[in-house]
Amino acid sequence: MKRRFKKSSYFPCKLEQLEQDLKDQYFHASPDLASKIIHHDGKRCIIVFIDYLVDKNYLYNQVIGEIQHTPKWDHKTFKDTIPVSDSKQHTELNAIGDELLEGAACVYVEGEQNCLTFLIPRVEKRQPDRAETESLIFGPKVSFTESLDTNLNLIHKRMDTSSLKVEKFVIGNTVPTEVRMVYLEDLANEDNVQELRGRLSVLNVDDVLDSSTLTQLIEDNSYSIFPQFLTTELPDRFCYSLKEGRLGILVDKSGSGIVTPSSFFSFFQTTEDNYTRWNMGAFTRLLRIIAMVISITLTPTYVAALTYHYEIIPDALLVSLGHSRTRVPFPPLLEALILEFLIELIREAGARLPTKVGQTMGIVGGIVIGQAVVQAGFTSNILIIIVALSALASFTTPSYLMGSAIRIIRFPLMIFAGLWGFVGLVFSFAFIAIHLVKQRSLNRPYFVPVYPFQPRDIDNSIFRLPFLHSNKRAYSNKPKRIQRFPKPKKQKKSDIDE
Amino acid sequence: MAQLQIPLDKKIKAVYLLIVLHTMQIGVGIAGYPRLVYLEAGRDSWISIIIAAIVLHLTIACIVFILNTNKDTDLHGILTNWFGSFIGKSITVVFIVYFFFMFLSVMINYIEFVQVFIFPQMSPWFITAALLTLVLYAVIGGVRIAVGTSIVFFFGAIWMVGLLYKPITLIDIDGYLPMFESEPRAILEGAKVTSFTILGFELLWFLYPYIHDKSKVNRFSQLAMAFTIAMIFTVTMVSIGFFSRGQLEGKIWPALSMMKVISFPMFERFDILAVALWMIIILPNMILLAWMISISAKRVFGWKQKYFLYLLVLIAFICQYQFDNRYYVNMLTDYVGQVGLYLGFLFPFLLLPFAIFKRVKGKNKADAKN
Repeated sequence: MKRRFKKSSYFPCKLEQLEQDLKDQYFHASPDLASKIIHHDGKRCIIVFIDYLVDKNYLYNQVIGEIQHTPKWDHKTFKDTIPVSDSKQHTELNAIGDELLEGAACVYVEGEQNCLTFLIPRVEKRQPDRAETESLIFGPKVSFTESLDTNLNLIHKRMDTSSLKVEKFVIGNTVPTEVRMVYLEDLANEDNVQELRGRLSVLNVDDVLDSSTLTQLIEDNSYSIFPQFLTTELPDRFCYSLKEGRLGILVDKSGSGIVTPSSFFSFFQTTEDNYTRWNMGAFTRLLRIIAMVISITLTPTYVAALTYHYEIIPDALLVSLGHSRTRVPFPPLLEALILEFLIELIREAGARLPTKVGQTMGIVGGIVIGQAVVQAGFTSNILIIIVALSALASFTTPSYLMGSAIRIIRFPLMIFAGLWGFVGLVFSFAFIAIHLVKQRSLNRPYFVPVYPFQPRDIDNSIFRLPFLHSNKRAYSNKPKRIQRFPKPKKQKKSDIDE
Repeated sequence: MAQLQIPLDKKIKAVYLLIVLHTMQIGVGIAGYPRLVYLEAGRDSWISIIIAAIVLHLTIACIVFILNTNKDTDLHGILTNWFGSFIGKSITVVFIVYFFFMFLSVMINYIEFVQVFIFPQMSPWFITAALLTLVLYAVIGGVRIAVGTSIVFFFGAIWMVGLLYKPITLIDIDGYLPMFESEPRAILEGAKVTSFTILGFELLWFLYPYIHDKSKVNRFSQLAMAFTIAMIFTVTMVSIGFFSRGQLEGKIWPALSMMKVISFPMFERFDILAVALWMIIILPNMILLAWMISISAKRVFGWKQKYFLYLLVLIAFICQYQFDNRYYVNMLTDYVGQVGLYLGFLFPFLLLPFAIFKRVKGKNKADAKN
């Protein structure tokens, strides 16, 4: 219990005493506590700060420089002359120590009744850079950084409107982290706002590592494999979602924002769909959903067909299939599991290695092992094609979490297909369907344009229409204003050659 | 007691009735139905279907009339209101038992499909366990999930109707001719067979209080009936035209046998997948029946709905062991159909006079007040 000090009777004290007390009692002889004593007109003044936490440039030029040029030395004058907005007066050693930890410099003139602190933290931040995990070909490529200020700035720049509302929360008992909830006041549904505010304010946890950790803490169903809140590192995607009437969360020290409520199909959208022309956007959107279905079904179908249902394979194919499988000693299920496992290994190894080695990894894993495995008679080359195709298809999903979920649920599906053929396969699909219907995202249905059946929302989720025709926001988010803009008047069509 | 207070977030839109009632009616029955009606009414089966359709629409109109007389309550509430607690409870228990056997017959018939078409050696307990797992998982989520899964499964299965195009191209028009040669009695027998297949609309009795916009109930339930009738009409007519004379009588499941001619470049023998996919056609049946049984049992006995659901799953799992023989399966299916004829079609008309009486009385009261 070293942090027990007498209240307010500490000051006035000797400068050396203050320095020694801070060092001994609060910082336990930390080597980084720096101090400087300056003299002027017979008065003495001490400046204490933590070496690596303050902006030194600012400290020397603005704080110390200003003190040296001030003719009259007392705290009131310092407070007026030193150009730092966040300055406080403290009488307790504890409070001073806390301020120092946040990056303040403490100034004390001998004989005064309290101690001044000036908050001049040094913040290491990187410039907004190109997005890494959600890469785009077309459209703005800037991504969030790890600084909350920069991220808020990026959002404010994109949405220069007074209805943008930012609410502050501090989460974490051991290491408090700033969390901001961002939404457009005139669009976001009041129930959603209440719900999210409630979830964030009741959260009582040790600390929040990152926005993806926060997501897992406040999601509706933390047991599901499917992510229910979308995380994105693209400010323009974040802002686009806000303009749809959704809510966003930003976490300090995290490079991605959270968007909620999000439906299952919103994980298959990119902002690029909106930047390209509508027909291209609609095509790529459908392509991704089909790719997801292919990725889940292809290998299990192979397993089911080769284990139990030979009769569904056309004659011509059956011959070549049988030929390529003659040397394979395993049942189809084991064969498929080995190969899928291999692909996962290559993917994981590639992700862990540095980029330059990662490329070599791809060649070694993909070509050398793939070729050798077939020649050694471990798998048929048709299975290689199928597994590669479904791995490729799973990488088209823009959200990394959703892509991983899709790759992982393939394994139980394969096992069921191997055990009970198509019956097992249909059973697993039915299970996934019921599971998806049951999920909710911020108490809003997750599987939305399918159930609850919203034909109007197909435009905003699975398909895309020309902008002039899609003048309504997604109905499922229940925004306050459903209409984006009034529908343009129909012009009278003129006849040919008129 | 009578009026059910259902929170708004548990309610569903009336539009869903269109799909839910339809999926409830279409199940294992439609696979074998064309043969059964053909055995009775021959090439004039379409007349039987039309007669059954008229009766069906009238029945639905009657049910909706009775339900609208007593707003916001289900069959149990209506009966308790009119005839007292004892009669209300006993008739609901009769319905529960009937639904349970319907549940069992759907499950066992599906197991038989799988055993005949795909895995002759497969032990039935596995399919039972799989089906019951799915039913349990869905019904635990409540009425909205039960309805939601039915809708998702409907979309997952309805495209199979499109596959009929192949048998349609192979239809021989002579199969329908000559017309009008069946006896009126045979046609009526055919209509009776048809009515077994289109059972399942009793769901309306129990789902009604959960519907948000009640004014549209009649419209969408009638549309659902029309949809079902159109579906079985199409399947039957295609089967009669597709199979040669004498062939149809020999096929126990003509609708599945027809799938044998469908093949894709990468997928020969579609019927294998069709039988597996039939699971998502019967799942809405089972899920909604399980929901109805558990909710009505709760209304009658007052325990938690969960416990009845677990009990149902347990009993169903034990009972499937008793039906390992085609003979018993047929007997069960026939009995359920017979009882359904009375409970489904006759019962609403028995209640009708009381409903009219209540309405007239209510109107007189209102007049007297004015």
